[in-house]
Amino acid sequence: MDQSLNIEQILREKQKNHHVTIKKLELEEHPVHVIYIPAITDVKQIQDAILLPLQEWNHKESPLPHAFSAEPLLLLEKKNDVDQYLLDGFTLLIEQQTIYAIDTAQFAYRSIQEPVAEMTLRGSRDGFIESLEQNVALLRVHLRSTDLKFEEFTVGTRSFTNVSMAYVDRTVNEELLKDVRARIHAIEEDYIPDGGVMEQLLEKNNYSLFPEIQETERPTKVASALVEGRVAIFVEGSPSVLLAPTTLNSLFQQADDYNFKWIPASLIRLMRFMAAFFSVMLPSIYISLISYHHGLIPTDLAISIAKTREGVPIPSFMEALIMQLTIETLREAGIRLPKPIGPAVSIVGAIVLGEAAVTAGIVSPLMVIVVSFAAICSFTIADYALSLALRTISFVMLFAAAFLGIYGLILAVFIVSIHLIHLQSFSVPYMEPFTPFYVKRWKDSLIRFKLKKGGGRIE
Amino acid sequence: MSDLKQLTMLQMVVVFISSMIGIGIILMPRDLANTVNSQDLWMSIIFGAVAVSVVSCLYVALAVRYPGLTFYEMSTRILGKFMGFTFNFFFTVYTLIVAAYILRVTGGIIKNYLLDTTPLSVVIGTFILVSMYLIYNGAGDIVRFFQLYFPIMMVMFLVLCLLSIKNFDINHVRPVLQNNIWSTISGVKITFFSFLGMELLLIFAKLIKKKKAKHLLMTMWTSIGLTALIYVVFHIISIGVLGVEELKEITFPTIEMAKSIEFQGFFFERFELIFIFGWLTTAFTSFTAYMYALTLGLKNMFTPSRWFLPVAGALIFTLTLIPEGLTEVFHYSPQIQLISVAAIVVLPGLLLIVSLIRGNTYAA
Repeated sequence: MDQSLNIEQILREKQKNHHVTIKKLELEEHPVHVIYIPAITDVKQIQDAILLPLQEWNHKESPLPHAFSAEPLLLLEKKNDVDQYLLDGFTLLIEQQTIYAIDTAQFAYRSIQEPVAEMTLRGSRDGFIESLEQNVALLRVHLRSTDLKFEEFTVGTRSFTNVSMAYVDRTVNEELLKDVRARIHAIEEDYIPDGGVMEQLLEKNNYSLFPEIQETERPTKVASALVEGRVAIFVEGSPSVLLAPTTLNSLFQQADDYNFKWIPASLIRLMRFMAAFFSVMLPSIYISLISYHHGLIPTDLAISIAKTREGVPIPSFMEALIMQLTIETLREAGIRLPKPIGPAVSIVGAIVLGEAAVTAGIVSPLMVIVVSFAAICSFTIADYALSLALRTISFVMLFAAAFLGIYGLILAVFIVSIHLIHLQSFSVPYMEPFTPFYVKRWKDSLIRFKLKKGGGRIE
Repeated sequence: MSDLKQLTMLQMVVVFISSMIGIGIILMPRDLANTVNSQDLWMSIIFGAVAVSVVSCLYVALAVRYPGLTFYEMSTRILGKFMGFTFNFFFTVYTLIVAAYILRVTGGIIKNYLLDTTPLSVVIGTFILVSMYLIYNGAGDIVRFFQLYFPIMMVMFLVLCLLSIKNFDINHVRPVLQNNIWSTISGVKITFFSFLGMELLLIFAKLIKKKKAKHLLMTMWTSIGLTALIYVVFHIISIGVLGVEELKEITFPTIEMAKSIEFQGFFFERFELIFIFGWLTTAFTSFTAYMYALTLGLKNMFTPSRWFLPVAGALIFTLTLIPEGLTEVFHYSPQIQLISVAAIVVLPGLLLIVSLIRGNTYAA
């Protein structure tokens, strides 16, 4: 494409686009064109900082840039730049054959709100928004360090999305930075709509269920991750910030863990691990006991289970599968529905459907208890990507249990752990600190050990 | 393929204990009770551990003389191509037999206690496939897997021991050392084989670049000592709970012991499930260690080496299905023990002697 500037052609092109405003100022027979897109610019600023000084400017006394004292003027030389700056909210000034640009951007954003997906009881309630600049500002509020560095990238051959990589200098591993840079440069996608897409483009293990990169909307979480030596990736237009590398352990950590005293916080964290285990395993353990190993259930319990299963026409595996699918459907429906209707679905699902199914004798009440307890357990997993992975695995577990009972379950657990051991996120083992075994890092894993007074950093 | 550069001492201890404890913990009480025939049978384990510790010096000496080499590479380097190949072939056959033996007993127990109507081929087939997946990921992952499950395994055994204390009858164990000491020592010929797995130092030596002999010896002896401790505790508890006479009769005494635990007021009254999970893990780890050794052996002897993981799996699968029942498997025990002694004592011993005479070390 021809990159040289052809003023007439540019003007003609822009005139065709109705969203672009072109003002021609005749300053003593010395025309200056002012071009901007009103939708993404601060029109008042244009009035005060550009049009007014222009009126007073005398082209014979001083060159154009001298007329503007407050804002720096950029001299544009390529045609691509012209379009790019215009779309970034800059105002263009055309004087004879030269084009200048002034930053007058004002995009429409929502205000800062509490993140919907990550709730906490205590601690800051600010969440990231769609503006990269604002997000960086938010992070700066929580991390006022000169060591906090940003690197800018432009990704997307059509969308030219601004991507920013943040890290804390001298804490971060240089190899990690190189890896992240290389992966960002390797992206060849037309359009990056959101952080989630960016995440998948940066990941290496495309066939793994587990997220290689953590997503968060909380500035405090990003700040603490950066201090630990991780890297944060901001994507323009996305409220979710990506954190790399990620370990299984870090996906279980919550901001609230650090806001309460360490003993209850550790107990809650332990409970969260237990809940994750139950959400994956409970239905499958139940059906393997029911269909293969009645002998292992205590006699009294076995009798009461047999009573509840009396008259249920379908095998317990199918029963569990149907129930699990129903719960997944309910969950999906709850997410997609508008807020006021959401709770209604859960009431219909949980009370009406469950109760009616039991009364009709299609499913046994114990199965309803088991499956719904597993579902409640899965709600304790805050990271949605991890929760999706575990839910998928819970279905695999169901099949393993139906196929080979407890033995099949043990083998399936082996397979999952072999996969997790093999998995690496940006060259960091996913199961670190459990294996490879780092005793020092255990104080923030299954339990959260008390905070060090005197500013000790967890290495 | 992710691989560890070098094993730490802790990792080595974990690998050895995980490889050693396997089917021994299930089968040994009965064999010992039949051979020693007294409540002192747990002392045979200590004698066995001492014997194994002496043998382990052989491996340490070899591993120090040829750092970073596996048994297969050592033997060709020391003995030349032809004799080395023969040695390797014999060692590979040995690993194949041990792997198949472990798998057959494991399959038998699973069929006995968990899945009585499922065909044996399905049980062992799935077991081999999972193990192959782990081996496919490389030696580093095998070590990490052992490490991840080691604490879980230990906790399970500890829980089982603590729960058995209630059924423990001190009178079953009591007259200590009243028995003929020679019959106790003769138990070594059984207990020695429960420590099979320490010879894998010569396989995992690949991951040990340069270690001092003292450190390696300490590692070996720590692993053997800890394994012996676990065995001794288990045997004393088995004797205390079941008595020597009963031990002779039951095929899988340790599981029966776990079955006899009754703990009122707890949701699960049956604890053999916990034991079976813990034990299945140990069986899986020791099986994987041997299958890894087998795969490595095949890769070393033949080229091209790409397809030897499935070949190893197929070989083990076939060999495991040959015996009709567990009784037939136990019938072969003496022959298997003979092969084992040849493979783990005679072969490394010969290698070390030849290497000492020729004096060619790694540097030369």
